Amino acid sequence: MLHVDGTTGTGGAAPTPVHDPSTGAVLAEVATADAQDVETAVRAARRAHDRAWGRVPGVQRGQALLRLARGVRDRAEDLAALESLDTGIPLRQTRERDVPAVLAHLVHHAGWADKLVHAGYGPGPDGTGPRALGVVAVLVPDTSSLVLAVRTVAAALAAGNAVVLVPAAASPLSALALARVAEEAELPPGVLTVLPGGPEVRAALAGHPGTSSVTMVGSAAEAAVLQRQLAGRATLLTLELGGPATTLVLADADIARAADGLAASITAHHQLAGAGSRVVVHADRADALIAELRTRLAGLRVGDALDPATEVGPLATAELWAATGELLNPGAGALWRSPAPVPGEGWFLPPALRTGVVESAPAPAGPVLTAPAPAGPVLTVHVVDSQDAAAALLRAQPSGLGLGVWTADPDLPTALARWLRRDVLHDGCPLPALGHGGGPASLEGYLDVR
Amino acid sequence: MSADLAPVLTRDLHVGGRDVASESGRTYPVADTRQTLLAHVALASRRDARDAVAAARLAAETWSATPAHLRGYALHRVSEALHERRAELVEAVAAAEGVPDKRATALVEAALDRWEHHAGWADKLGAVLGVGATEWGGLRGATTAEPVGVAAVLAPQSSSLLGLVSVLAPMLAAGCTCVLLASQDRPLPALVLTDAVVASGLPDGVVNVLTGRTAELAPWLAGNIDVRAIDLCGAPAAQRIDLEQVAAGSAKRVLAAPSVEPDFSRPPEIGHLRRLLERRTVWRLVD
Repeated sequence: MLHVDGTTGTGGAAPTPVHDPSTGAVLAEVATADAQDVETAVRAARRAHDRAWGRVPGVQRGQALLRLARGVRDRAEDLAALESLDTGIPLRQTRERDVPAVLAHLVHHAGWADKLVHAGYGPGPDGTGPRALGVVAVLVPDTSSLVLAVRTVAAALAAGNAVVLVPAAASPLSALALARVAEEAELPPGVLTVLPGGPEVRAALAGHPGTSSVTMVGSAAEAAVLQRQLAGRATLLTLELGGPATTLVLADADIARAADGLAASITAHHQLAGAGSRVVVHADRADALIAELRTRLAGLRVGDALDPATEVGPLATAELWAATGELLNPGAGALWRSPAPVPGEGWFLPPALRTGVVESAPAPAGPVLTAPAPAGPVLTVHVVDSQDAAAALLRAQPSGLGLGVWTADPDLPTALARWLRRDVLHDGCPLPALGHGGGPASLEGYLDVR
Repeated sequence: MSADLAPVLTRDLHVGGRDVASESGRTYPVADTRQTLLAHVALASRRDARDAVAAARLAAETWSATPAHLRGYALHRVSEALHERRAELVEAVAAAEGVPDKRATALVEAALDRWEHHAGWADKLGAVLGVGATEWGGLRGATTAEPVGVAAVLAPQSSSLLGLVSVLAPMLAAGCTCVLLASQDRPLPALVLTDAVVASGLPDGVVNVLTGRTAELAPWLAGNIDVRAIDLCGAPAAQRIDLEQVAAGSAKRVLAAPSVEPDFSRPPEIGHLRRLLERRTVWRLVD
């Protein structure tokens, strides 16, 4: 199923199966786009931007986005269930965090639509605020949640762009449902297009001359391919790169709260790429943190994502499950695994801690975090003996989606954000899938401010 | 039922989340522009005004400390409650302002849009009016925009709903709690709005509504030390300067009365919100 130009249809490419990670069974066949669909989608989006969305006063866009938010609120239960079914995120989480976060992004950005002149980018050509770019393509990781997409989509729409979203390949159903809600909320046809597909669709969309801007969340390797493809073109590229997010626990941290935060991040979005599965802790506090973590992780209930009692759901895909499962094999360091029972079917893993992983130190770059990038409920704990060592370790690591820093020092997070060139969450564990963001800075990528 | 047999409503004040009669027991009649009696409304005394300020002050601490996005949600819920009362609002505006239904409908639509506009400001004022990082002379500072506390507003006398929303909603978006003195001769749209505020579940005391004689209550509100900002929009022309002078005695923010009632169909200015917020800066020495 595709959602193009305000209508739902079948795509030109072969349908691909979408799985329920809690059982491994095929949930649905989703139509995927071909080159012709991309063409139609971009053309419809361009038309929607030029004739309607990009021209109407901001107040009307804001109202349309509020209607969309109300539609999401009215279908909150269904959307939460669909998201859990498709991604493996526990229902408790999608109900209490994800869908409310989708709503929050929509409502927040709806309010920006008629206030762009105050966003700090100057008055724009006619004094009412900077103009939109046109057609914005939004590309998200194969395994990611609806919130991650909506964060970008909401900002781009509020700014006056038409959006073509290629949803998460492994879990496109909630994005397609959102497109239906948008249709019911009477967003003009073509304003929000959802185009399921793989790398070919992403490349065709990004390279289309009608696409004004591409926002990509994903790996540095994918970004390089995209950047090369767009070299020499006027298309604006906004990148949010990363492997897994890292949580740094420093010597002056509140260990109990840090352990709470880490356990919560396990129950939240561990099953998606980019979740915070890597912990760097100061040697003085490592034993205390590990002990606290074991207590918390041992109590977590692993099970079907749709079961409201479930705290840890399955991994999102068979590939992630296999890759993360490798970490449970005997190897370097010590391994502790939760005694909690794990369902036999589906892509489940028990919460686990791998500690004492030795950092290799290839010259001349110094030590780097070499453990594979796990996405699952397996936390890899790296112990460092000083704050500087921690910072050096992180600096050598390819950029991540986010960094959580637990420290009592109020200035340190700002210093780290500057030095490591990444967003920092103070006294929290980064949940990139929940989409930190918002505020005037998040609008920059969607406005013509060059 | 013929019009003259229809029961005539008596409407109370709204103080601290409750509908209360004036402690004086007084009411006054409200008529439409053709002099047909519409309702009796409470004629608030100074003691009622004092109670309203006390209720607003009690609510201010919680409301100002409510996270901005939740204040925004609360205001969006008021907006939904207003939408549900659209027909009632149109009727009230048409009667109060003596305009045809079509014009009244347009005024109500504009008022609803205005409310939603301000609801959207609640979680953006910090970013737009605050200053995240100032650094100079060995100091690093962060400036936030904080609500002033209790704000009182003399509602515009003519524009019974659009004008009212244009002065009330910014106060709520800024995080103030309000004492609203409704238009003396056109108070009914304000009372429908009060119903919407109640239905939306906005915390008690955030909006307190008085009806009565503006000339009688305004000096008292202007002089009250717990009122930290006053919008004199609907002040009687003869009192404008006096009220500013009275207000000066308690060092409050004064949004001066215009010489003629502004054209509320014009887009709102951010300067209005700015005047309902105080800047606070926390400085730290840079090592």
